[in-house]
Amino acid sequence: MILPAIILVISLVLLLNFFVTYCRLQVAAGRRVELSDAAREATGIQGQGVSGDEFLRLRRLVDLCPETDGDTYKLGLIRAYHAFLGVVRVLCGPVMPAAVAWATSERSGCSYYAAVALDARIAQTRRIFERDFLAMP
Amino acid sequence: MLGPTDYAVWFVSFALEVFVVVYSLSRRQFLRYLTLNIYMLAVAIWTVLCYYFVEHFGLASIEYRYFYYYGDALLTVLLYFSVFGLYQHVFAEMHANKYVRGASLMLLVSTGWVSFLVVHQSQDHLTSRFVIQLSQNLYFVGLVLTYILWGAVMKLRETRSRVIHLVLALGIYFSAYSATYALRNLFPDFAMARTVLPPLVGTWLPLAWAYTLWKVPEEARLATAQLAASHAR
Repeated sequence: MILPAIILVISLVLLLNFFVTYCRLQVAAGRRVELSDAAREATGIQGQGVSGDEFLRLRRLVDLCPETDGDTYKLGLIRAYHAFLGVVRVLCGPVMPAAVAWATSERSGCSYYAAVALDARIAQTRRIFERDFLAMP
Repeated sequence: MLGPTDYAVWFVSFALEVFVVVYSLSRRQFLRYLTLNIYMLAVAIWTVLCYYFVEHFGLASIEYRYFYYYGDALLTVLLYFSVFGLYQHVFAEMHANKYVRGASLMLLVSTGWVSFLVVHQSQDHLTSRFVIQLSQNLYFVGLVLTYILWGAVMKLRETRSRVIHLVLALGIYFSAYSATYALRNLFPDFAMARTVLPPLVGTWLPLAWAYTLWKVPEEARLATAQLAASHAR
């Protein structure tokens, strides 16, 4: 019984490690994208500073637009990551301020990622509108 | 008894496995990621055969169980070659391919030898508990190999986005499966680890690899230096 228990603990720790790294890469890639003026106007975001608490509002806005370029898979992943960071913040709040600061920064990255996804979807919707409706005789 | 959701997850997995192979062939990338594609092809064939066994013998039949667990163990060993294929991608610039090939051959021989010894010693009681232990150990070895590979990716400051995504997806897959089998070993009556988790984890790898090959261009680059710095802190 000891070996399976050790394997379980190590596997869960490494699973968390791989999952967090995978999601951090997505968030870091999102941070390198500049938001368009249209997206800033729609979301009210100034600069790169978005609160992590804005994530759900931005997700709801993203859901209003049609899917673009198969982004649902990554958004689902970021949503899970955001929820995980919320748990980290709650659990580590009283004892590990550094972990809370990291979680807060990453949650902000998740929100920015959602804003970038929203931007892409707005642009795609606009393209569809121009192609299918404005071009109609 | 399998419900519509089980069949849906099964079908999605199969479709993604086929997608990976067909997409690689259509983009002339089959040989570039040869071991990954061979694995996906083998899993797709195994999925079809599992369906055949369920339809003809039933989900609870001994035939299906034997086919499922021993097929899964063989596929895990095949997946080791995919890990070594990724090792070759990571170490390509160091011209260390012959060492990687040597290491993979050694691992194959030692895995075969240890498995033979284990099966030989347990041939009187090749029970489902035994195969769960075997699978748990095989997945754990895969996890260790992938973690070492990830260490090499970070150390060598690998920047190819595709390789990084493929390795991380593999790490999540191996660790999730290893944890699932350990859970089953510890708590044999925990139904979720037997019915819900395996198909979901099984869908993860073809989903993540399909997404990576489809959406992450070969020339895309990522800065792992940032991650390495924060790991070191």
